[in-house]
Amino acid sequence: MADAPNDGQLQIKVKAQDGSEMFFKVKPSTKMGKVFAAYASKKSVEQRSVKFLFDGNRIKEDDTPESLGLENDDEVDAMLEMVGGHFFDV
Amino acid sequence: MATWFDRVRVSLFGSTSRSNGTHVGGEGTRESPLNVADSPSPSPQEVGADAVGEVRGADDSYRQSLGKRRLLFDEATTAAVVATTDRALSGTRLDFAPSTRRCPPRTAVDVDVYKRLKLVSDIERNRRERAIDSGRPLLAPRWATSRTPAPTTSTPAATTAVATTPYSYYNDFASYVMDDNNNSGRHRQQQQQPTTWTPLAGPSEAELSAGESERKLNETNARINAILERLQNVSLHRQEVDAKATVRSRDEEIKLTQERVAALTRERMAGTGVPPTPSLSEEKEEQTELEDEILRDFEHQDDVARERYLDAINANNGGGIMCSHERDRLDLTRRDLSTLHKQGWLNDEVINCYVALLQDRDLAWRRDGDPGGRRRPRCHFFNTFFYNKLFQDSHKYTYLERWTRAKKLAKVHGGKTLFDSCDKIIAPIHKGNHWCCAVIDLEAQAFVYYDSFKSEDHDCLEAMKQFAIDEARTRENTHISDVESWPVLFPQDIPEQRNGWDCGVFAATYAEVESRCMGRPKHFGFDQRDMPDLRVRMCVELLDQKVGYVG
Repeated sequence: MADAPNDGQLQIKVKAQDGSEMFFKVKPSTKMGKVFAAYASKKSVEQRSVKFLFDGNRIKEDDTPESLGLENDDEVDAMLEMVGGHFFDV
Repeated sequence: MATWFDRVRVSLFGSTSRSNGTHVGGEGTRESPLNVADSPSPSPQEVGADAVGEVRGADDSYRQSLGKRRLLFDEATTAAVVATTDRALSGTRLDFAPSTRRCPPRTAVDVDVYKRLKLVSDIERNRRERAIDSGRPLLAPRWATSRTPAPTTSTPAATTAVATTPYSYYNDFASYVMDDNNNSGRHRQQQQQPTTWTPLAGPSEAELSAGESERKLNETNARINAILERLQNVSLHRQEVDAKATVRSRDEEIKLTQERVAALTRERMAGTGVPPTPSLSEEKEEQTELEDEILRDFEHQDDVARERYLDAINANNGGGIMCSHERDRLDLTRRDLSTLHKQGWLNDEVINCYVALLQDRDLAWRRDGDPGGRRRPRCHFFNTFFYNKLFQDSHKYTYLERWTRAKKLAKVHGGKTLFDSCDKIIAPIHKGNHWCCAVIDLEAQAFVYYDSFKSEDHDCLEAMKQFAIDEARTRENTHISDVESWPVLFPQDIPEQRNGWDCGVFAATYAEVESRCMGRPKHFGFDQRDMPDLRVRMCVELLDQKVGYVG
């Protein structure tokens, strides 16, 4: 990551479903679980209720930006759980 | 006028915040006396009766205005659901605000039934999840333990004894809330009032002479007993009629199935006698074989599968990961699998994992061919987040472009571009509370939308179309350059959902059928009655990580 700011750190963007964005600076070897925990605590939601995707693929807690091939300014999606049973919006 | 197909706002009261039990709603809303959880519940039926009265009153005007709409639930079912859920929702305030939904509602009664089912389902889901998380046994809900209205003789000890026994949702709750198979007879039986009556204490002797008072008392008692007897007779007669009706409908069903099987066998025999030329009877063959497959499937569902299913969805078995999918990196916990319980709403994990398994089956067919030598469509499955992103980013393709790059496809089926390597693109669609299924059929050149309620979401297919246009342009798929002119289809001859919780199973099964037959499937081979079985099947398939019964 030659173009990344200070000593190999990456800036990644976590985008929620409502369009709100949050930026994190991580090392390529940082476990994504740390990012999730930080995101969940900042958003004050349960970490388990949020799922993170990169290009439509699930990110697990043990993944690192390196293993995922994340680059500087890449976008990660935070998705909430979806349930459905019928047609009406109650 | 408080319009009826209205959004219902619900506030569930926590166990700590208790006031005098009356809450003032907004203007135009009805105040209803509420049961306080900790105080001895006065009688939930009263609250319910009140609410039902309002429902009925509002419904009449709507029935006139919406006369042509048909009811999804018949009156018996509606009444039973209303009566049963009243108890469950006795601590819940319902107030009504104008709906902002675009989708057309059915009738007021249907909406009411749905609201009730959703609320009960929500409450139950939360309870289950809490039980799984905390590791404490799942107890019967308060409303289920006190089914008979507030018996004055019950001691606190008896109540706690009931409350501390672990609770099997599948057995108890199902018998508690209406099932989809009109078992209203059973329900009525539960609601039967106790018919024992103890004689009243007579008026004081100061008012009447002893002989006269005794005579009057006897007279009254006799009259009351006569009325009670008559009531009992009526209710017995009703039960009898109910039972007869059930037996008759069962018989009819059995007869129908037998006829179907006989017809199938006849066709089969005819097929073996004179081998049909494939070009002429291909469609026919497709249809019968499909039905045959489904029928065979259900035979396979032996007790072992059912046992495993019940075991997997039982909240009392603790949390933990039940199965994982390697390629899609999914871990399904018991929490996720327990959404497959009889009346559960499926969550995205279950749908995603099921769709991933369908993709696995597709890959196996691509690699080895179908064991039966039949031609299978090459499919690509998107996950539930696809439509979510498509919709959320206001049809912006730029983001989704990364999802279908050759590098990504290489991890799945190795196609160079999405449209080159597939016959069908299948995506589960999530909208608010509902699961549907959308298909881009490259073979038949059409966009298809499957909704178990048969609604027509043109926005959804327009978005899919825009995606297809952008994708074809970006990847230079010249063979489908006319994608803009492809028709959008909303098939109406599909199995229809008739309750408030099965749409996820419907959507998954539409996807399953789509991905296994060439062209547009004409016969799906399942309907509402198969849903409990399909839930068992889905659960076992998820546990085994293989869509195994078919193919």
